[in-house]
Amino acid sequence: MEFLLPHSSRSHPPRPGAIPSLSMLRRLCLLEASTLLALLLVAVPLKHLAGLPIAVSVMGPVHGMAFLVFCWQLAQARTERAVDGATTWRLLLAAFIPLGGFYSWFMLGREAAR
Amino acid sequence: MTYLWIKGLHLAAVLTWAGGLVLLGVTIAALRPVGEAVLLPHEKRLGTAILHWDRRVTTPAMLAAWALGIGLASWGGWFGALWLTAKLPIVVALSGLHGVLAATLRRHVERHERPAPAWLRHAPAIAIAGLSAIAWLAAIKP
Repeated sequence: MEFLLPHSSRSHPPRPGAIPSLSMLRRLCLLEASTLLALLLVAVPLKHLAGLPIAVSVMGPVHGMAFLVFCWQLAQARTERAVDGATTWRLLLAAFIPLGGFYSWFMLGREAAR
Repeated sequence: MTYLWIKGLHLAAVLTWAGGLVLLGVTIAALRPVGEAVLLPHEKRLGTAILHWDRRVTTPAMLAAWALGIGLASWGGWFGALWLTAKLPIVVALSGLHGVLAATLRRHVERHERPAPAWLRHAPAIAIAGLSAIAWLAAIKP
């Protein structure tokens, strides 16, 4: 949990209030990563190989919504000091990379379990 | 016809979200000088009421504005249009601002934690500038 806290808070134990925000953020990492993979690996091939543009028309907005909710929760988690500044940028960057969200989900879970 | 109904609902959701966002911004800007001092009972009561309003009205309105907006853009074939491409980063930034303001007020009112960062005193102006840019882009569609 140590790295999730800002430098000024490292000598103090994590606040109990930070945990729900972090667990929600972790779930949203998974949701964002799943919708991105579904978009890239299912919807886009269906559009270009099977001539089904409806797949992208559906999955695109679903992923867009998941990304917005993720950004909103990330801003809250940072403000509540559930994650530090460097982690915030890492999580945001990972959201743009396929499988990056799964790594964020795993990393946040591993650190929270410590 | 359905498109216009969804557009109307999107506008209603955006207006509700905008009102709540500016309310949060003004509240944080007003409470910021309080600093480490304990909030007075009436300040705490007002802050709690605004947090309730945010949870029950402003946040659902924001989610509805996103969902309806994405639906409209998809249905209308607007994705890729310049005005929408310019509008989306502003929407993401305002959503982030809303998240920061709501979490700051929660920390302030419910946990009596340290005062908000100095830049948040400009939050109402940032919100108004972002909302104005969105209105201009959506109306003019350059």
